[in-house]
Amino acid sequence: MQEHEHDHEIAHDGLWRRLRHTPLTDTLRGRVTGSLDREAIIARSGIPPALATLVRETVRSTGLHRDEKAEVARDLAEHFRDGIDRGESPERLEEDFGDPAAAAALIRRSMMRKRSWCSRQAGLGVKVSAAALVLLISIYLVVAFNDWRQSPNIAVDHLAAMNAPIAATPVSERAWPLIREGLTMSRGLVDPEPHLEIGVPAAETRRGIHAELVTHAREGLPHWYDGPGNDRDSGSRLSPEEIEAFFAGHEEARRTLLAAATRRNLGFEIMPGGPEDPLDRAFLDLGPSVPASADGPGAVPVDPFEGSLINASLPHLGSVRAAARLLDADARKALIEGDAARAIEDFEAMFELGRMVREPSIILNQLVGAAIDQLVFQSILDGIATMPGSFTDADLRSAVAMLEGLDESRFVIDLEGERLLFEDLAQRIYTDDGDGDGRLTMRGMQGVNGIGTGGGTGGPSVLQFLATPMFSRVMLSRAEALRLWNEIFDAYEVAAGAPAWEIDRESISSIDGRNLDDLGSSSLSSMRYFPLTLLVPAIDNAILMGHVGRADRDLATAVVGVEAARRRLGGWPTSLEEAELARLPIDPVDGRRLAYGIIEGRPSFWSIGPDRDEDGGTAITTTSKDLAGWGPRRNEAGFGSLTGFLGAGIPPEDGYDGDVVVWRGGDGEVSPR
Amino acid sequence: MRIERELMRGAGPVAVLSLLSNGEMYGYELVEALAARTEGVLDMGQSTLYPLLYNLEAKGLVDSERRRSDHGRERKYYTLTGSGRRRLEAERAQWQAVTGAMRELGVVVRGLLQPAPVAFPAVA
Repeated sequence: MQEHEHDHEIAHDGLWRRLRHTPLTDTLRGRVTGSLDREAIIARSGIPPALATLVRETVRSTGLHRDEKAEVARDLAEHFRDGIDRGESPERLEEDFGDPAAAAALIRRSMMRKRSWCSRQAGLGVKVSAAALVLLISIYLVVAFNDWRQSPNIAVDHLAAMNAPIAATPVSERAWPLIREGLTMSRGLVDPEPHLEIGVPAAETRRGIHAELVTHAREGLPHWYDGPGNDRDSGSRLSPEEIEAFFAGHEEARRTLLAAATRRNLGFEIMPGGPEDPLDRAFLDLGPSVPASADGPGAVPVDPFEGSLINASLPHLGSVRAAARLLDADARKALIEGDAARAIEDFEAMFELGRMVREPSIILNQLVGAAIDQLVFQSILDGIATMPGSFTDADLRSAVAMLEGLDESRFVIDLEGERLLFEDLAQRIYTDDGDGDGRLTMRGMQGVNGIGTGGGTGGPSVLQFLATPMFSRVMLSRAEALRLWNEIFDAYEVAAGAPAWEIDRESISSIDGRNLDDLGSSSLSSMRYFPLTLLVPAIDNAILMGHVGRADRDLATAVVGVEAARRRLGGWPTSLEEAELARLPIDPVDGRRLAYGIIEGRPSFWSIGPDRDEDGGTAITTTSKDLAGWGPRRNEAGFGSLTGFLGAGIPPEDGYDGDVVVWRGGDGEVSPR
Repeated sequence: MRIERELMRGAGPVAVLSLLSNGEMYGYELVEALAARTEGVLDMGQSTLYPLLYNLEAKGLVDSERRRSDHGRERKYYTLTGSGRRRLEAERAQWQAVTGAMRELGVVVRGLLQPAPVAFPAVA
């Protein structure tokens, strides 16, 4: 009865009101007719209020379109006006009119018959569409509710299986307790304010000490830094006395770390939230442990990733790396002091720590292991280049034996842990139909969303409730995801085992025949291949790092061999044949023998580099990128900067004209001991 | 005398078509004419007339035009279309037949729908 409330006395000729009640067609013609204004029509007819109300009520009840209501209002108002003019009383006219509701129903039916075929079809279409929409929404809500009830079936405790060999290792054969002990000793010396004691910036602590030692060692030999643009200056200095004081205090810690390296394995169990051992938690500054939820066996935890591999914490990696850095720093100091035997002792221990930290075969563990190996390779390459006199002939033989004794398997990234990681993820986010297939669950979606953000707990939001049915049907099913995951890991394993120059880069950068970079190009494909795209990208680089590690090991072996030949020949060998190396190093870019020659009186090894063109050992000068090597931008040994250029079928990068010098020796004036 | 709804449903449109066969008329005029010419027998309420007119218009039997009368009042005038005229002839024949049959049966004693064109004066 809203229209009854209209004031009959209102002015019906206001421009805005007329505009509001003008058909669009009239407006477009520039005519403000106000012809749809029913109140104005009724008012203009001058019929008594009772009849005006009757007209309003009848017209409103028809539920017709605005133009149709206006037409009916006009007809009825004119009708009553005629009746009044004939002398009929309003009461009589009202009585003759009959029931307004019945009249409205009849008028509605008849007016609708007057509508055009198109208009009737459109109206029908709207109704059918609305009904279909309601039906679809209802079905969707039923599906969403059903999805909400679905739970994953966590059948295998992959984390426990991964930890089983570690747990089976007797404490006496574990390296971790000794690493913890050694680093605790080290801390005792440098904490709480190590920078005050030895002058290292507070933010850098042990890492800073190592960096300072590297800088210090290099600065001690001018030819190392005689190239332009060296940017390895850390900005602070340690005096030899300060270094001496620091390591005098760390000798016991070093001995403990060397002892740790003799143990069978690392023995650190990976757990969500870190280890439970209070000593470990205190050492790693983790705070008190949070007990797992008290769900019974087979119960679905609130957090779908509770107890999962993906939630496993690896807080020990930083400590193992710190231990390796401490040993490396000691080795570098030993080389400065001419004691390569001590340095090799440190290196051997570092290789052992690098071996141990690779287990279990989580890719992060292996990356840390590879990084520790790199510390050794770099120190040997640096040491032979700048302090060859520190190595006795026996030391050189020991170094070669150490390098050649490394198991080849450490250069082949083991992906078994990553395969299990996804299997574990799949059992936590998908349903299980018993045949290896299933759909994404709401909690799974919630958990996946929380990966890397710390979310994933608590109840699902309304949005997740509504989005899950769509996501779960667009996303890969459990079987599809596992198949693709295993396919790409098969390709990774082929790439990890193939020579660096034969790696099919395409096979390790695509899923389901589509390039990884393209998968995120549309929201549909990024949704479909999630969470594969979330977890895969870092792995291809890890595989290439394995190849770089092998190439660096071979380079270090060759460099030691060249130094041995220098001693034998009384000067640098002019060729590798003259050096009589047991094994010739390979350029990982093209698989050919690594180039060697004497440049400006200094022995040099170089790779043909990204332009895949031999340039006689001339370092790249035309790149704006930080493609290092023994170039003008910095002096860095090894193949690390070539990681992105390894593989088959990679076109030459003409923008990098020149070679990448991977090692350059001294001028031969340093006498062997 | 009020006519049963079912009978009125059949008779009302024919009556309106018949009235319009004599010339254009507006709504109230039709109501008046029906009441006067049928002695109240086909007196239909306004709530029935306008839906009936809309239906006839929807079927294309009548046409309408809104315009000002000679006295300045705006009204909607209804006229019979060609289809309406043909429909009226058909209906008329059917009613004749029904009336004849009813007469034979003694139900009807005189013709109800004699074709008697009457020129109605325009009502102010």
